[in-house]
Amino acid sequence: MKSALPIVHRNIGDALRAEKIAVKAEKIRMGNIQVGSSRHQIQTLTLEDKVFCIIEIPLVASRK
Amino acid sequence: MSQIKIDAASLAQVGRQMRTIEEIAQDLPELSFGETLPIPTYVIEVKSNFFNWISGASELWTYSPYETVVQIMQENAELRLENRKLAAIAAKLEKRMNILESKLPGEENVIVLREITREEAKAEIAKLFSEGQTLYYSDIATKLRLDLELVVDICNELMSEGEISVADSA
Repeated sequence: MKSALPIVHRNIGDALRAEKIAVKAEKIRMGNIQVGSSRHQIQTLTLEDKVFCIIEIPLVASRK
Repeated sequence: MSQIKIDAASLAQVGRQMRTIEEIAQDLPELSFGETLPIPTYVIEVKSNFFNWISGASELWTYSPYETVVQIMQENAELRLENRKLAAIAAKLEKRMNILESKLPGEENVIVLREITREEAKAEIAKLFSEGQTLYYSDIATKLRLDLELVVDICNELMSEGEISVADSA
């Protein structure tokens, strides 16, 4: 069983890297589509005002 | 030059004799490049107003049917061209509007968050997990229409209590 301790990053410049991140914000500004050398397109966006981001983890009920 | 006399007695008859634009157009001769169109002129005698009517006086109107037809055909061609341009612009605008609409949040994407107590929210989340599903924070927030931060907080609490855990597939 893996542990998932909540660590809240509040410092300017802190970065998140994950496969899936859930976010909420008052303003979501769509950015541009970056087409790189790979076949996948990368989209950018900016979140503003009361932003909250959490790296998603799959959760299940514990077996007792 | 032909002359048609129009008065009250023969008005209905003259009306029957009037030709449509299509009928006149059928009579147009086929022209080669540079050839001029012979334009006949018709003179119509018209009882134009009441005083002329009672005095028996009349006015002479002249008109050239071919000239009218050519003018109408030119106008028609210009209007068709303009119509095509407008249709192309409308199609472009529709395409751009569809792109913009797809980027806007639709009614089906708007979730009104419920205002319930933390205890009620915790009980509902625990009940959702008891169904045996693997859930992400965002899934829970969407399904139960709860605030994401509250969901994360409650899930962490449930994890510390040993009620839920990270799935092995993660």
